[in-house]
Amino acid sequence: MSFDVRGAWALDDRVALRHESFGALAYHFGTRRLSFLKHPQLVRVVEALADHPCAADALRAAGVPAEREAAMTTALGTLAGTGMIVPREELVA
Amino acid sequence: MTNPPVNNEQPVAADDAGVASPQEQLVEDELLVEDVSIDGMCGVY
Repeated sequence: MSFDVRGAWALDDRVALRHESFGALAYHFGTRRLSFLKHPQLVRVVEALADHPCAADALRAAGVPAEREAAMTTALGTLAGTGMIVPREELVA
Repeated sequence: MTNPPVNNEQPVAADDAGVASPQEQLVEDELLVEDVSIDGMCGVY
């Protein structure tokens, strides 16, 4: 799934993050999916998504180096595909 | 009863410790997110 880094994203309200030494566990209470976020920097990116106008800004704010952006974008695409992160307009009540 | 053949192959010397080959790095990068199936686990509601 291609991920739109120019879009506004956020962690789904039904997802809980549990920080671990390797990164974090993400559990979606709606789908009951469990995902391992296997890099602490990815966790910082995910947590920063809601605070930035687009995912690209969140990547920069988290200090993701250019050579790692592709891998991070792929990871964000995976999280979007499983519903762990959603387009921010979907969160508006 | 014959003994199993002994593996006399020398272990491949690792490249510089901590330096991943480009392909290894690519594989490592692709695994930033891993989904785990917990269906059927006791206590999961």
